[in-house]
Amino acid sequence: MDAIWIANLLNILTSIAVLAVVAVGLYIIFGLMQVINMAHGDMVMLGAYSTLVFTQAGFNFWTSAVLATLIVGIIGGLLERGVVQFLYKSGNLSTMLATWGVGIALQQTVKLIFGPQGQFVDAPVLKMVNIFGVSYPSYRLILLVLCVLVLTGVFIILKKTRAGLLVRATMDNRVMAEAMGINTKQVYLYGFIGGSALAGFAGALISPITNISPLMGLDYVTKSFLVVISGGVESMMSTVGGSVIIAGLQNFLNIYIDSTNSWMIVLAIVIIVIWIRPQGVFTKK
Amino acid sequence: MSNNDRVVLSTHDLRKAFGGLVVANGINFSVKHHEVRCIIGPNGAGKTTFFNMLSGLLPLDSGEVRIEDVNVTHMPAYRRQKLGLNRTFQAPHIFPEMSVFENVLLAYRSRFRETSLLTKLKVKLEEKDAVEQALLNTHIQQYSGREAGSLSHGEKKRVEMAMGIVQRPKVLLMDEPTAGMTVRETQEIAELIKEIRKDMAIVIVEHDMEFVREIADKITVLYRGDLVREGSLEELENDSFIQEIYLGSVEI
Amino acid sequence: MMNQRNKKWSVLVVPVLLIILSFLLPDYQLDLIATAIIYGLFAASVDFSYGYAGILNLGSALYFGLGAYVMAFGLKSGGDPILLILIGLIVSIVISLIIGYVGFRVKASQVHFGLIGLALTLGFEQLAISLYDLTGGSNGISDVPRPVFHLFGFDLALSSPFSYFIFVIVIVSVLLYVLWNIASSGFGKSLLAMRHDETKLETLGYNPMTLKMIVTAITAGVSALAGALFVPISGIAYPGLFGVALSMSVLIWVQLGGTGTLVGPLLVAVLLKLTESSLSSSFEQTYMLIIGLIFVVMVIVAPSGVWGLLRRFIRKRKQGQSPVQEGGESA
Repeated sequence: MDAIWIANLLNILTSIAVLAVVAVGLYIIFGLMQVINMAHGDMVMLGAYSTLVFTQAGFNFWTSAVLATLIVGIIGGLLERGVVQFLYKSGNLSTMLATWGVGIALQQTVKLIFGPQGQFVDAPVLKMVNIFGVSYPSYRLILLVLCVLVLTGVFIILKKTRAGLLVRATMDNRVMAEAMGINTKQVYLYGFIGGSALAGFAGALISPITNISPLMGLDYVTKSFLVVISGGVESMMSTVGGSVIIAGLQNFLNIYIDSTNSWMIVLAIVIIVIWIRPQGVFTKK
Repeated sequence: MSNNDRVVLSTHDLRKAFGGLVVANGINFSVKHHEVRCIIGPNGAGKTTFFNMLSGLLPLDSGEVRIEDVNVTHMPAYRRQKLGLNRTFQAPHIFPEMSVFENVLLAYRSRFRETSLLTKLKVKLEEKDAVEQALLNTHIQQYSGREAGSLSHGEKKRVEMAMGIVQRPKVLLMDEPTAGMTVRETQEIAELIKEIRKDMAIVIVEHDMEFVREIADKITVLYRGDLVREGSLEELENDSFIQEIYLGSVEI
Repeated sequence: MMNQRNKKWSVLVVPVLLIILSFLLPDYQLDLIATAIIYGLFAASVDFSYGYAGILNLGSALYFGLGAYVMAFGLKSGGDPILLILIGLIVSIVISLIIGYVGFRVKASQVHFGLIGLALTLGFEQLAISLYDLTGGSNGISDVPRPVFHLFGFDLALSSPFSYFIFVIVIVSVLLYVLWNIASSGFGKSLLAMRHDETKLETLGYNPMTLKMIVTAITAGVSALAGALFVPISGIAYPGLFGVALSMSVLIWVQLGGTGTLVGPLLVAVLLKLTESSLSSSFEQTYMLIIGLIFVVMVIVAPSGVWGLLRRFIRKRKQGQSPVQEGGESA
């Protein structure tokens, strides 16, 4: 294989993995509670800014990333307790608008503190690594591996542990789960914390390779929704599949055409996909 | 063929299963003009599912539904209505934010697919009378201006009936019209059915056997997706199989 | 009945007052008010879909943007404004019908349909950026002149903010009146019925698909008109007009103003836009922050909008005077 192709392939895989982490976070929130959390992208943004703050305060990058993940998880929990929990009965539009409002407030707060301009975090490792004869930034490789590990971890938690069982039971049928004695309120809270923490984690990891700005979350929230909708909410794997479609296709097309056109093609494909399979591509139904 | 022998609604080998659960196992069913037919059967016999298939809310696995001579198997519900089918639901389906009058008017207005301006005008001029007549027939004229959502269960059911009869369908399907009704209300509905059968065939899913005895020309028994018997109440009452189905059941 | 007639009158009174007011205000303020009212019209048109028929579109900005771009491109190349408005209108309606045909046929949830709309408007945003020769790329089409109408041999130049203001007031009043009449007609009733119980309405012989298509087309048309009206004042059409932000804002106006009221969303849009534009840009971030928080609080406290809150308040007072129980006996 051509050297440039290996680099391209790795880039595509990295972007799929990052989007998958964010989208799985949204999958937990959207699939579990049917909440359209428009502030989900801002959790990515907060993850990146938290990492920035901690590294500037002198913490090591990895410690900062872990702290950022925890903080965003807590913010997610606060969002559920402070806003979303009052709106489960008021329907989709209400939660969507309220979380959009939260998103605006978060963006503006960050803008007031850090200014609108882009910020950067230094990558913890700057070395290049040689894979199949291609020199590739080792940080990106670590990022890819970490994302895959986290996704595997989430998959195992959802599939194999009791906590995961509770979450899946509540996703499946809330009333039934309640009848079986599951405290669904608590499940929702933990779902929100977990989902937000995943977004925060992704934000922390991408902070060295992206331009950190108050509005960076918008792109992630829209893409995550498209992922969840086109992949389906049947299982976590359908969300990962959706990420492959969206991030994979876009970054693949980016090699040949400019990013505006590739994004447009992806959107067109998503619309067709939703049309043909409204329940999602990766569902058995 | 005399007018009264005209078949207005029929099914041929109607089949439907949800996974392994067979809810219609080759049902052949037909109703004649002016007929009042009651469908009985224990819970889970597939009565409401049968209605849903007749009215176009649930697709069939196979088989055929006809309104008069027209094959409506693949027609959506609104087109079946245009051919003369109307139904009520077990739990009353009405529009609670609108007044009773507006509910019935909404039903009246979709009755016609007007072709000429003249008939359009005529329909428009008659709409108030027609709606009021339907309210009168169902004894809810005094609630005409009330918000439909504020009525009692029995009154809501009658609003839905008024919505049905104002359309003057060829066949009216009624899903448990007397459920949750008082004795007096049930009697009034029996009178109503006797009145409106002059204009249409009526198919009723019913549990109240006294009511069935009073109004039914013929009874169809559904059991686990099969049409097991058809006949008069007397015939069925002496049928050992029917007694067996209902043995221990509180419904008869 | 009296109340209805009053409402009909107020449709006339408000524009007349505004026109009188227009003699007293400086040009730049007229432009600000006209822009706010145009956004108000946009909000009312979206409310017509969501508030009456329950159709949730997360990408309503699509039609606004289309109307704006057609107008901007056309005015800049010297096209006839009436023709341009019509083209924008027709393009939007055709696209809305295609989307509707695709989207409503799918047995998808409200959320799905909403997200299809979102994907589409994002797609058009990218399209506007990439078709550089037509749309000016990410800078948009700027320096758009004000329109000159050619009507029955007369040239009607709306080159001053004053004349354009009056034009906007007239058009918006007429459209609002039309929307309001449709909404309170038998057709409007069938929409309310559909939102409540689509199945029952279908068994009554109404085709829900047709109803939805008509509603979507009307909303698309009016939104496109609003977009077309917007351009001569702003002098620019830019990709952000297709963006998520505008689509979300308009839903917020609808929700805060009260769904299914038309006037409520319009008023909220006008108020918010006026406040926004009268604040200095240095205060803008704090303002946005506060607005964000207000949205959150409002959605929680008043799920049916300011209008609903007011109505509930009035009803409570009335109930306090005469203890009539409403809806008490329903099961």
